[in-house]
Amino acid sequence: MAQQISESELVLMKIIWKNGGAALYSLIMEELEKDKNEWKNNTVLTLLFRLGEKKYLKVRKIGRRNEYVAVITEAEYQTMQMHSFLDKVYGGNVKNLVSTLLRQDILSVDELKEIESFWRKENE
Amino acid sequence: MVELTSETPAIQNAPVSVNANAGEVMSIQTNKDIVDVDMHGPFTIYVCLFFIWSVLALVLFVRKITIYQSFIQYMKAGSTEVSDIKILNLLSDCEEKLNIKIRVELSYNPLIASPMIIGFFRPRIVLPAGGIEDKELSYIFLHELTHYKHRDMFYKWLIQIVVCAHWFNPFAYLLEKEVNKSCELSCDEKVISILGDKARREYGDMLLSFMKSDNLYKSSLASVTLTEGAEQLKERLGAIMNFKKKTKWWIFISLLLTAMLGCGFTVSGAYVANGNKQKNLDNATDTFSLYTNSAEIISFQKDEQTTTKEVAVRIKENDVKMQLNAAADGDSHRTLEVIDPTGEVVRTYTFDQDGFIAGDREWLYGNELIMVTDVLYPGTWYVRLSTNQTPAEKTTVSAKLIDPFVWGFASDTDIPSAEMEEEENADDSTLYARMYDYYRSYAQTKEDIQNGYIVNTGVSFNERAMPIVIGGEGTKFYVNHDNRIDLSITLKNLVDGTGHHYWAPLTDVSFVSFEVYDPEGKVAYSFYKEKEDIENEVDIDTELAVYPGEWQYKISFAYVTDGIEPSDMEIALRYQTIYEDDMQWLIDNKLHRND
Repeated sequence: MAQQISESELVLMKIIWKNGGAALYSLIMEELEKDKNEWKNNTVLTLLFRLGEKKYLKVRKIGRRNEYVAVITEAEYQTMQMHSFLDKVYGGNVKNLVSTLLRQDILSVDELKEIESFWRKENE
Repeated sequence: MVELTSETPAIQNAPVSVNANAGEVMSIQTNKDIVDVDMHGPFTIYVCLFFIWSVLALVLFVRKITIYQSFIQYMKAGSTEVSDIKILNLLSDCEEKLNIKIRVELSYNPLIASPMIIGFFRPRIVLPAGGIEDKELSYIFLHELTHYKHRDMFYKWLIQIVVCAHWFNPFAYLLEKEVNKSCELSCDEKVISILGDKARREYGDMLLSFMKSDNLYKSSLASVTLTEGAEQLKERLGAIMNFKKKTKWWIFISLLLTAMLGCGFTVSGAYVANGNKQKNLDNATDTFSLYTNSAEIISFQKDEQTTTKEVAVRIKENDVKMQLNAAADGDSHRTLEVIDPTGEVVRTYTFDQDGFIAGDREWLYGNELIMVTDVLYPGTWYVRLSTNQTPAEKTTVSAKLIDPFVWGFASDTDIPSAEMEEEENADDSTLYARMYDYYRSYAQTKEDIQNGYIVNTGVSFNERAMPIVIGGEGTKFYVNHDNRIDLSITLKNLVDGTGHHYWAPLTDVSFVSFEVYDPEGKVAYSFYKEKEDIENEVDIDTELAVYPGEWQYKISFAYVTDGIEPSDMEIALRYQTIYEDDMQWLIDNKLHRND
């Protein structure tokens, strides 16, 4: 299983995922500025380097510029986090998780019915 | 076929070979022979010694490398990367300040005692665990990054090689200590030069706190740490606190005046007064608390018999300087002393109404002495005034607190209340004249006039400062003869300040302006630079034709110095032909205006 990444690293990953899984450094900086993030150049470079080391990103050179390509997709990351969350908090017991979702109204009964019928259709 | 001779070898007792094939047996080496051979062959002794030396040197060196590697592994195991954006940004800032292009990694490790930087080509700063304030972090980063910039890691290993090769030589170990010490000291110096005066004490405190911590591991082989032993630390603290004294040679006076007078003219200072009302006595024992306006702390009445008076001044802040104004009267000598809480006399200045007798870095205007202390720390300080004879006039010493960034002195900064206006010096022109001559002491002004100077300001800052003088009515000078005046202006390393992290001048625009008006009120010469233009070097040397009449010059400026490069601002007007009456006019109206 891949390593954990910090919140700030996740922000960068999200930008890259949003851009179709690859982004130039300049684009990343632009997106950060849009969200009023005041991250210095070196800071971003350090974080990108770390993501590279953790095998979340691959660096590709386009001319003189660096393009950062996501090796782990957003879906894979979500799954990973889901597993780790499930293990950590629910001891691997999915039913308990769903019951919490329902009891706390995070998942409404209607939504659950929708999911059930969707699932049935998929399996037909 | 190889021929073998059966001759006896030329050298007696030299080893000879036994060649079984040839069937000839030459002389057999006996033990005696061997011993004799050793005595006579110089090479083998040295070979032995060389052998011993190299084995030991190699063993030591290999041992050092092994220790280093195990330390690195130990470190890796316990380290976690730093993800806090704020801290990473801080590191980024420091890298920029030092112009470091390479990316430096950052991690925590609870097992180390003090911050360090490891790695030759991929540097990594490791911080000890525990909350470290932002301010301290900048010092740490600047310090460690400077180690990287100076390539201290390489030097340290070079020294290790030398130490291994000279394992027998005690001086090598001394050299090692000295090199380590100078690495640290030079980094400290670099950090302080960037951070400035205010930060010195905090930096020293921080070093001390790291010494006291009880974390587990310190290794000087693998890392360049922030502290390398208590002795060195003492020396470093001393060096840090004495840092400013080294820059004594530079003239770094700045006068920041703040006054608001009704005549449509403002002069702003880099620091704004808090306008407190004066409070003189704290309690019956003559201890004063000082504020930002002058308070009279010592006074000798006319004909009062005592010749020495000492008062206590309670300082509560960490970052202030004290400015003392004192006057000399008649023929008496005055000695003004400042004594720190430990009882040591830290400043002393002796003068009489003709001027300076002993001391330095004080300013004398007419017969008024202005003394500014170094940055003070909280405690009870003392001010002592002694005279060598009974005062013929009333004499007072007044004191006030000023901002540490003021390198010269500041006139009272408070907004005049109704009662103060009455006491106000009615001679406004005196105040204006004073403003433009603030860079020269009485003695220097006298010398300038004798050399034909009408005005000769000159200021160079080696630290961060923010000199500001704006507006004013101009200073008159009377020309008695047709003449030419040499006009020179120098600007170097002045900074606009608005684009930088530190403060911009209160006016929001940096500028330097100099004008000369002829007797008809028309502009005879004008110089103006503002905003980024300020940062360009200016070196003007020109001349102006003058005719008899009342002329005027006006100097205004507001800029910042960055404290990294020494700054320079000089504006001078000087008569090409020095006439007695011109000079006398200057002496009467400029030098002796207070008489």
